[in-house]
Amino acid sequence: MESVLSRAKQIRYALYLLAGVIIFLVFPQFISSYYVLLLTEILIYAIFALSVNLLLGYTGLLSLGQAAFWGAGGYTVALLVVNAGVDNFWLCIVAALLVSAILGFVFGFLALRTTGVYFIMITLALGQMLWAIVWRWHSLTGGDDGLSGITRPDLGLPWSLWDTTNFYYFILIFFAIAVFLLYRITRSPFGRTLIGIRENESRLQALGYNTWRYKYICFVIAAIFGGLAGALKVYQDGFISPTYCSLTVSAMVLLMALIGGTRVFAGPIFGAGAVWIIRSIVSSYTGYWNLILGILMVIVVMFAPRGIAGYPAQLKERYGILKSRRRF
Amino acid sequence: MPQADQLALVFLNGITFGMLLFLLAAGLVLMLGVMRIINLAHGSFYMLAGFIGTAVAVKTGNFALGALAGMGAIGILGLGMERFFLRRLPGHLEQILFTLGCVYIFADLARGIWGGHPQLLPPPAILEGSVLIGDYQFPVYRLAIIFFGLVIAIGLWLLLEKTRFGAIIRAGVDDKEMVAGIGINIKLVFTGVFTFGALLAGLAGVIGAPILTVNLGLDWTILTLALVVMVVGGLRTLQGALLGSLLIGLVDSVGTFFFPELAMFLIFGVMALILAFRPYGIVR
Amino acid sequence: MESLRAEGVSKNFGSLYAVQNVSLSVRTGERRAIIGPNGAGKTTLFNLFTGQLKPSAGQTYMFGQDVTTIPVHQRVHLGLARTFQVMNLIFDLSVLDNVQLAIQAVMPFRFAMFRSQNAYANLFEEAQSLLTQWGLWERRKELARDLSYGEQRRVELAMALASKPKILLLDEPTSGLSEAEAASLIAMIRGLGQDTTLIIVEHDMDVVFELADYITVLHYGQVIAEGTKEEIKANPKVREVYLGEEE
Repeated sequence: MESVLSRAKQIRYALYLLAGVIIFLVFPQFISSYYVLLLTEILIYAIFALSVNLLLGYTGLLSLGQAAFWGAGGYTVALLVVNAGVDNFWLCIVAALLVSAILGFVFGFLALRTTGVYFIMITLALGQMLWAIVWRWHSLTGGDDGLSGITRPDLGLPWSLWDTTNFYYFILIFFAIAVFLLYRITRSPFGRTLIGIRENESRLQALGYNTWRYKYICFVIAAIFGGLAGALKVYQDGFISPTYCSLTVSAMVLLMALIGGTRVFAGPIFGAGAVWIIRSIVSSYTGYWNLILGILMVIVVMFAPRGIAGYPAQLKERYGILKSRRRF
Repeated sequence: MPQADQLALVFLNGITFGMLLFLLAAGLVLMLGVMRIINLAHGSFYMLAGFIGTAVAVKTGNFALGALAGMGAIGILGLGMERFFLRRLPGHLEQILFTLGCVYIFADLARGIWGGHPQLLPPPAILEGSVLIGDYQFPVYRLAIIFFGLVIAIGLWLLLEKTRFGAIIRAGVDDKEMVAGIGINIKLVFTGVFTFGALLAGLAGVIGAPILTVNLGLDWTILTLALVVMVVGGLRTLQGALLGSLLIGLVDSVGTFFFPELAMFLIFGVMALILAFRPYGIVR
Repeated sequence: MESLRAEGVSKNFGSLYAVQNVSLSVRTGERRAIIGPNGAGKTTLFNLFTGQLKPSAGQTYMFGQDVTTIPVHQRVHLGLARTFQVMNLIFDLSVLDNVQLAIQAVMPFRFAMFRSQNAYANLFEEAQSLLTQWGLWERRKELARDLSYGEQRRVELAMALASKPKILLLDEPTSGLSEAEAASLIAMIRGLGQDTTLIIVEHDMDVVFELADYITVLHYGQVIAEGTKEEIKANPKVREVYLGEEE
């Protein structure tokens, strides 16, 4: 069995890991709590963006309704904590995952009866449907006012999670687990098949793959991780409102995946960082965050379709073509 | 027990709204059929046209001028989008994402220019007033929209069935390569279809302004409705778009009148039902 | 023993009848060629066998089992595999990835989510054996789109054989190949096991006469003749419709 990674790549990945450790573990000790908060939010969005990219980057499915799961996870936690007075953090999280999974089963089933552009439209419509339900169902969700008073989990640990830095490390654990699981999925036979489906679905069917089943399972996985992210965000914010389920959120997380790079596993992590940082900077100067978001989207789509993380590959391709031309 | 005049009112309101939705859905269906993309900025077209048209109409005191301005502005916008951006993008996915980016750009531009103030456009003088239906007043303007919508629907049908342009579009829906292969400039067809769709959306945006207040956020709400129409009515045909529009218009009207809290649920409920049994819409 | 059978199979697209009332039966281990002029319905018939198209009328059977409504991917698990006339590789993946995906398709671990694909040693070993057999091992890391046409044809074949099919459908496997490449491909096909049923659509009559035991001739979607090489060569109808055009 030949070695998968050459020595050079092994060294490169080790360096990445080291950089990651420094940035995520060490750095937060030395920066102000405002930046720690930012980093926490980036980690949460990164989980969401990675889940969306499982659909988009790996399977080639563009879903415009992923905010439904982010919102489902969030509202499950919020309703349990605020309305039902449930204290147990693990119960809430598991419930959030369960609800997201069920929603994923239903939405996935409805949406995956179609393909291509039709699939995109239906995910949009389903996402909007959930948003409308959440918005209108005042008695349950508080409607436009939302729900507030979601307290930080009390895990019986000596460190209070109300402290920004403590909460950050708490989220970091979930982030690490999510990254680990999602990475394993992408390297597994299941994950490699998803890539094949993205590239040439009919050929894969002709090879013997039940491609519908793969897409469906992928959809549910993305829903679960989206729900996890949403649940964590609610603990972070302390309140929730129907905007969690809005198309704006679905679009922003797509942008994160795109900007970071959909063809590289860690791309969405970079993207989440980039988009969230830009948003923070922009919104402190102007209220026109949407304009910047839109322009960014257009620029990325037109000029850097592989995103930040994919730019080296894009350059290599271009350069490679140039190099080979010189031979002739 | 609802009375006859209530039913009539609800029915007419539903048809009115349906006609507006039809103008939007028709453009979307054409774009989808010929170019294989969903123009997510379609709702933005509607909203911007409403803002522009209202502004011009109020300033000049001339409704028709406002309508032309709104329509024209959006037509140019659509033309520009297709000619300089959509055409250059490699795949459908990228094109759809581009239109999504445009939604945000347009939304903030609208916010910058017109602020958060909802715009009210009074109907043109000749169409003011209302007719009496039982105990209720029904605005003449809405009757005009119904009539106008029918004219457009028939006009579109004629365009598609009886003209060369229409034949090209129908052929393009069926087989793009073939159309290009027989020497027709497919790029021009694409630009034409997109611009045409934009013009329809722009028209809808202005004439809809007296009925549906123009405000920020309208882009999403009207886009969602237009997409629901397509999901319900069918994504491939104008007949489906018409059927879906009228159906959703009626459901919305019935809901708003009899079950105001549940109107939205009703619409999405219909959509979910259709999705469960006919994922490609009622009209295949 | 019968491996593949079509009974009264028709397929129409609107008023266009691509296949009309075709009945044929292929025995296990047989080498059958389906020939006919362009538009005779050969690829459509293939698509009906593989399930890519549903017949408008009639049934198809595999090993006696009615598979008419069984989806494409399930037929592979019943023992069917095909190559495509228009090259249908996964062009942006490497040759190795292409073949591994093909092998994996019938493996029990194809839904496995938590171990890396590289951990499945037998996947790699089988891919190595298959690629070496088809002379593609050296090119395994290249993207499929960067291979020469002849090499791509070999990848198509390797992928079809990856599932160890009992029935192999080859759609114009030598099309576009040079004489030498075609000859080497034929030799490789010849080397296939005796319990593998081979059904091949071909235009090149030399290839047909070299490989086939039995020939079915289609014209305008209908079977106009069936028989051994000699019978077909001698058949006047066939000469008029098809072989005549070759001269």
